[in-house]
Amino acid sequence: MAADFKSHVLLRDEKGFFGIPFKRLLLAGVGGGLTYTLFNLALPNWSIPAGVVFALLVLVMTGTRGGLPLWQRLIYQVRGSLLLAAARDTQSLWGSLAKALELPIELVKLDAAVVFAPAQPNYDIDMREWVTFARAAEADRDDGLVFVDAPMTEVIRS
Amino acid sequence: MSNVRTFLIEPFDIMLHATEEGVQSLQARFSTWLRTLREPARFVCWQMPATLNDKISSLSRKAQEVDDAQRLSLLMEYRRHFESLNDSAEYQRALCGMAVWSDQNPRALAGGMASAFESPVAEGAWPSLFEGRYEIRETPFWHLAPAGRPGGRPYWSILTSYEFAPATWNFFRPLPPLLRLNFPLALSVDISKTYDRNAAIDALEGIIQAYQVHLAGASGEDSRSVQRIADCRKALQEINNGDALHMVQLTIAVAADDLNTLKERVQTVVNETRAWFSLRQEVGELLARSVGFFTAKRTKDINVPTTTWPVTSRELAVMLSPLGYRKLSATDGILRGEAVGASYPVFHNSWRDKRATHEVWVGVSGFGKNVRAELLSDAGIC
Repeated sequence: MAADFKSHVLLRDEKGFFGIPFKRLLLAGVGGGLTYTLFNLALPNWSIPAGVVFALLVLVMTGTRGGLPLWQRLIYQVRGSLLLAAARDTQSLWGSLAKALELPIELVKLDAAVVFAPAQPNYDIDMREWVTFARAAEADRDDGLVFVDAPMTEVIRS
Repeated sequence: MSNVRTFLIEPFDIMLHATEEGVQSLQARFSTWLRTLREPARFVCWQMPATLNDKISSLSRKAQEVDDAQRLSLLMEYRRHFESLNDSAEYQRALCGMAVWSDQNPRALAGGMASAFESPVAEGAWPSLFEGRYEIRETPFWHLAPAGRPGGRPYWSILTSYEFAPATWNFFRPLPPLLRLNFPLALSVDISKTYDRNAAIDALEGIIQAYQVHLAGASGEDSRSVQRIADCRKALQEINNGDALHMVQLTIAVAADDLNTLKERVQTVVNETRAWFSLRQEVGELLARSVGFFTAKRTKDINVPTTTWPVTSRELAVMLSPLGYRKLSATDGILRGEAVGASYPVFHNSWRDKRATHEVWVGVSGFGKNVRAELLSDAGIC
């Protein structure tokens, strides 16, 4: 028996042009249009080239590599390099920059004792889960031996 | 918020179920258990180097204490046999674990898993992926290196799945060949979310509707959209037949003693799995964070970009196939033979809990039942 794996049934990925999905083309078009509009107010002569360049940039940066968009992968690369530089010398320019950006410098060094600490502090058997009966018939009357957290109130009074 | 409970599962030998009916029954049992998941869960399989050294030292110790000459000679023979086995193979120890975020009684959870997986399950702490302090390094490629004195500790690299190809999975491919590569690695199947049945049906119907609208307006051929609708309908059918829809991500940690070997092993794993799923090598802080997939840390606390894939319970069931690949298990007891699926010695301690042990051996005349019984008696006396 086997299982035939399917495509990503929860993801919309409509066909676009030149092998580029429609949603990336749409984002690039909207980004380029917005850039054109903004440049048209301040630098009208540069508005068309700026719009085209930004649209192309969005198109390239949203291309996925390893399941992540290129911009996100580049950011992680830069953050990683910055983290290592900051960990080497916390007082350096990179160290200050990493501190200012609140980068998790503690991730550079991993301590197995902390990272792989058991999920539960102890895995001893919880005796409170058990009820012990001397005879099988006692199970019908619910009068077996049980372990409790603390002495019962009646016991303290006597 | 539910508490996390970690369990250890003893792998079994899938070759004992290697008939069409056997694997069908396994997949049905696994998927029945997976259908009941409501909270996140994580399955991890560790494959670490192992030796018979403990067994050899215990035999040597016994030999020093024994006065009887015949017993001493038997002990030395066994010791020589285990030494020759040890020298001729590179053994790995396999252990599986399951983390479940649930408020249920842990004993009830363990019982449910034991009956679904037909293997001993006990609540317990997971083993560490590595020991001591490690640090991330950038050159020559992103990896985890032991900090301070290496002391024989390996380098690690972590790979995360991001895309599953439309391919056929079963209990024999693609994950078991990874374990047969016979180098230290760990595999994590992170089930970050299981959809409520109605929510899954709504989500899938929404996708079908969106694609139908897209196709109605499209002028040319769009085979991917047509296929997506077919896949959604198949998933809907499976969900309506009782399956659940899970979001799953695979993470593989690969170890090696030097960086060249590590690079080679990473490439081997990527190439071996390429026909079924794609893997990316983690970089920067993602490398450190993704170690969390081998702990009982919640997926959202691990905080790596989500590249999960939706699978139904029957598909997820075959992702638990490492459960069926036992390697060197405990060395306590007597050598009983060799695992059917792999060249691994199998030890069994019949007197582990001091109870009378009964065994029935079946075989045609001349099969070797008496000879084997005598050999086992000798080993038991030792």
